[in-house]
Parts: sequence; structure tokens; C-alpha cells
Amino acid sequence: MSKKTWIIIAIVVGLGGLIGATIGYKMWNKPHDDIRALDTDYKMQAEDLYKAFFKSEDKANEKYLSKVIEVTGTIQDISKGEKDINILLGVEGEPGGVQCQLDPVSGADEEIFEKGTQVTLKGKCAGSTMFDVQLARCVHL
Amino acid sequence: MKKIICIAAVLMLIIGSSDLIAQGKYFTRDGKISFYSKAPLENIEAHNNAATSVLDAESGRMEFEVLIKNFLFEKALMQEHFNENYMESDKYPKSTFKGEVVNIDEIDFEKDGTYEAKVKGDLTIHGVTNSVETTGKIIVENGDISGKASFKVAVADYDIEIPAVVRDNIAKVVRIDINVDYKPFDRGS
Repeated sequence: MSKKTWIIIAIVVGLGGLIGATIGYKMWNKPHDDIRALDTDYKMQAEDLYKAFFKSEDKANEKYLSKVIEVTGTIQDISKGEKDINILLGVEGEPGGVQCQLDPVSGADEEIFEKGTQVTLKGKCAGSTMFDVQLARCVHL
Repeated sequence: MKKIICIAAVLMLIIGSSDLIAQGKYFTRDGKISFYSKAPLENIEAHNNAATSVLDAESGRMEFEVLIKNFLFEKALMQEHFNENYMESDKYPKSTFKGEVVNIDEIDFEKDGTYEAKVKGDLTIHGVTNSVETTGKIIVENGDISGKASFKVAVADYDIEIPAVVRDNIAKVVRIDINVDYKPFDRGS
């Protein structure tokens, strides 16, 4: 092959490597999803989501796990840690509810909430524990 | 239905009486669990601030549940790989620990102090259960009860496969830190 051909091959390979490295770097450092911008899969009351999981965890996981849910309920408890806030939407007559971990990525954890108020929070369903259904990365709508 | 029976069993275990406040029973829904991986190419950490735990101060019975999708990583791609490839969290959405504080008699929940807690039980991660033992602390201060522990887990013991391409990014043994502030359990909690 001529010198010119080798130079062209070298440029193409070099460019390909640079593009690949750039894509790889961007993917490796890609930001978390903007929860507010994600399509909502379900809009529901906290009571309905809670009852779905505590009736059949397997069926509820199949339907709701990882889905984006807008849940409405009354704030029963607010728990603040060093870098985190969890909001519990209560369900009347039940020991648990829907626990929403506020999203530190979007700054949702900087908002102020009050017990007893009704709110709608949007987050990704993480499943249920022995007490509650949990949503992760929640934002206030 | 299974879930309702399970909840009823847990409540019966930790209430044990018809009193509004279950004597010596504690719980949290905001426990903090973190894990740390130190590898040649990268150090990774993830945090979950919504672990559930119950502790029976009389029998020593202790249980934890933590949802895998609630672990937050700094890097979105690592969180994706963690859930989809390593932990398969759609198939195994939670990890659990069921065991006991074997030296519960040495802990005085009425007296302020830091007590060594020897914990033994079954740890289930990624659908695999292993018996584990570790030593942590139970701290009693002004009526508040908290627990701390740190232990190591070999990922291979739980059938977690790390692809060769990222083997230098993820440690074979990760450290897990637990930090919980318990509240007395009552029906209104």
C-alpha cells in the first residue's frame, strides 16, 4: 500500500479511537435521569399502591417495580438525615405506607414539607419492605 | 396474601402483647446501609437511607430488609450495571438479614452506654443465603437506641458475577456499613 493509504488508515483509526473514547467517557459519566422529565407510568393514591403490594408482593413487583409513579397521599412522617429526607405517606388503619426517598440529585431534598399536608410525589418504585412500599429519587410535583 | 401473613407474623413477633407500646421492641424504616468497593481502577460507594429493621430487646431477635433499587451511586452507569447485571434487582428486589444478637443479656437498654453486640444470622443477597456472624455496637443514650456495624462480604459467595472487563473496577470483597437509629415500636408508628 502507498504511504498516502497508510496515512488515511491511520487518520481513520485515530479518529475512530477518539470518537470511541469520547462516547465511552460520556457514557461512563452520564448523569442520572431527570425524574421530572421521565414519562409517568402510573398515577395513584398512596393507599392503592400500598394495598397492591400488601395483597400480593409478587404481582405488585411485576406491575410496578422500576416504574415511574406519581403517588398522592398525606404526609404522616418526615425523617431527615445528614444528607437525606424520607417522607412517609400514611395509609389509614395500616402500620405502614408509601415511603418516598427524596432525590438529592435534583435537589428535591432541599424542599420544606409539613406533616398532615397532602402532596404528590413522583419517583421510581423500588418495591416493598416489611412495613412500606418505597419509591426512590422522588421529586415534589 | 402471603405478604399479609408475613406482616402479621412480624407484627406478632415484635408486639407479643396487646399493649399499645410493645415492651422492648424497636424498629426503624430509615436505617442507613452503605457499601464500599476499593479496586485498582476505581473506588465505588453506594448509600441506602431507607433500610427497615426490627429489634426485640428481650429475645435479641433482629431483622433487616433493604431494597436494592434504593442504593444511590454517584455514577448513573454504575447504578444501572449494579441493578441490571450484578444484583439483578428486578428478580431479587431486596436483601434481608434474619438473626439475633446472641449476647442480648449483656446489653442494658435502660442504662446509657456503648455495648458490644455479637450478631449471628442468615444474610440473603441476590437470592443466595449464607450464615454470617459479626460484631457491632448497640448504643444507648438518653433512652435512644442505635446500632452500628461494619463487615465484609465476598461478592462471589452470593453468585454475583463481575464481568472481566470491569474486574479492576470492582472489588471481590466489599465493605458494608450499617447505621440505624431505632424507635420504640407502637401501633401508631
